[in-house]
Amino acid sequence: MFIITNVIKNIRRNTRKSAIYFAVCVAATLTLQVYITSIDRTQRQLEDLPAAMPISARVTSLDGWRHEYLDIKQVTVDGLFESPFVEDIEMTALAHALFLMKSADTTGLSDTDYSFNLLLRGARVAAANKIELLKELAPEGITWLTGYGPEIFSGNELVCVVDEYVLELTGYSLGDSVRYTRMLEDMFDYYGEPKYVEIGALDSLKVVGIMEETYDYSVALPLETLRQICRDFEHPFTASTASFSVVDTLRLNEFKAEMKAIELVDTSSGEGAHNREVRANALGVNDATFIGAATRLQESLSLLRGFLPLVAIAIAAVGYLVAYLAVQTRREEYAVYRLLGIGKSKGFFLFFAELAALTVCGSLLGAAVSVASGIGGIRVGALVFALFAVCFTVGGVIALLRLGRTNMMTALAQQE
Amino acid sequence: MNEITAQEIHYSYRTKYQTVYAVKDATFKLESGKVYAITGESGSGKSTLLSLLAGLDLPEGGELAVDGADMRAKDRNDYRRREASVVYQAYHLLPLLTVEENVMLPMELLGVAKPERKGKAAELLARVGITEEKHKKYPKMMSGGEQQRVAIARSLAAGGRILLADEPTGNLDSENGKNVIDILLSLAHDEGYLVVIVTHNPDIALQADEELRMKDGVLGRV
Repeated sequence: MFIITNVIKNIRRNTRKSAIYFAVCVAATLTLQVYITSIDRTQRQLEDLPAAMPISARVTSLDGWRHEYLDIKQVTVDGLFESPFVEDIEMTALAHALFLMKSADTTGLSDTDYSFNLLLRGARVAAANKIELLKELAPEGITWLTGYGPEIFSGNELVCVVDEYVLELTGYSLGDSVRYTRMLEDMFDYYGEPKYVEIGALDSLKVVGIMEETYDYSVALPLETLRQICRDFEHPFTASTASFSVVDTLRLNEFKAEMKAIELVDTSSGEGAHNREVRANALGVNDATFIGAATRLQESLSLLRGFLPLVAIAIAAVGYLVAYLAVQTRREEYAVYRLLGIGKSKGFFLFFAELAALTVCGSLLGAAVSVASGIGGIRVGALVFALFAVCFTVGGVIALLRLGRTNMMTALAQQE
Repeated sequence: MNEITAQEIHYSYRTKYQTVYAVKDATFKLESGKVYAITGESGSGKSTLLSLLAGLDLPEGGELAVDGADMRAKDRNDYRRREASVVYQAYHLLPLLTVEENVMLPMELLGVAKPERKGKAAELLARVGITEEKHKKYPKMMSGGEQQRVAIARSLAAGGRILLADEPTGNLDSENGKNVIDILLSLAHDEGYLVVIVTHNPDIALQADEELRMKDGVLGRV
């Protein structure tokens, strides 16, 4: 009780010194708030960077120029679909199909007899997981079977859209299921000549749309349908194009390591120039702007954080200096308290409580003013208050410990 | 009945250049109801001896006892709070406290209730001749003689019966000095206080019941 009443009385009696000490606390807290807010804002800018600056990537040829008609291996395709760093994949694939004529009588014919008897009609097949990826295909130019539409491309039903010419040749019409379809992988050999690798034959591929004639392909399938067919016939699936958005872009290095693991060559490392694998593909990532911005922010952040210990020491030094100046002229007062029988620890605490009360009130006011003036949020304000109070108090305690070493005999023997 | 006994106590301290043997094997006995004057040249160790009697430090050797209790075994803060008090030449009143508050302070430390300590402070101030209109003044607004009398009132406030005074008249003119000495003599002779006065002044020494002279740390009776 004695200490509490004396703290209040002493603060009031030492009005000028208390006011100066209080003002220093407020000013120092405001300064610290500006500093910590800078760190907080930079940190938030860095965290918001992926949303503000999205990164997209696409699979390319080794030289980085071509991104169509590629031969993207299954390990790469599966890896892309499974990767936590990848979303919004847009992928296409090319294949070939041989449709059995609707009216063909296949009684007694072996598999190999079909083509010799001109019972099969060939057609280029394009598969995609979004209709917009299929060039030359105007969605409004498709006649859909009731209950079907462009969304079929994001599914995996055994459905297809066939151009009117092929339908006319084969005799099928909208809503029919093709009795016998032979799927072939549409590949090119080393010299660029087409070569077909058989995937397998299946029944009941349902025609759900009729499209106008296009130059590149006559049949369009959902990508997942073609992948499923490949899986069913245990045939490796290859894609023709692939592009996607990168997720969690602040971990770009981990992303690139994962892409390397699924056999996408990192062209930025120069690795592509020395790769002689014919089927190899590279990854093109438009991350230069992002990396530049993120690097600048990370450098700023590490610089600001690096100075934080020095700032803490500076606050403690100011705390020490202000406390030292505040109490050094009160050595006689301290000695008189001791002379009147106040113990060393109680005498220390008497002065400490006074400084602590001023520090807490000053830093609370400083934090409140800075929060109210929009310098930083309540969370930062609370952090600043705590950091300042601790650092400043440490400085004050050191000053008071020096006061506690006052030689009472010397201090009291001094003549006025 | 208070009694301070010292048996071959000694004390030294180090300065930047040398060790000063301030008190050398001092042996004495001080009794209540008497005024003792400790005289000697500057630097002879008088004030150091007074500080040891006040419990501000302990002798390095020998035995110093108050009412038979060894000073080493005593709680020296409590000793200064309840048994002994010191008056200095420089008064050492707290400048930001009023006269009344200065006198009330030792009682506050002992937990005496405010009305009681206020009454006792008024009584003590009246006894040393400080009029009521000066109770709310600050020390700097008063003369040296008045400040010293306030300091004496403060030293009596806790109720201790040992009063130690280090050059109590050093800053005062002869009239104020005489008033202060009269108060100290009265406290010893009329109320049984044990009063020790460190002084250069031979007149004060003559008024004391006993004079102890110090020379180069060695104490002798006159």
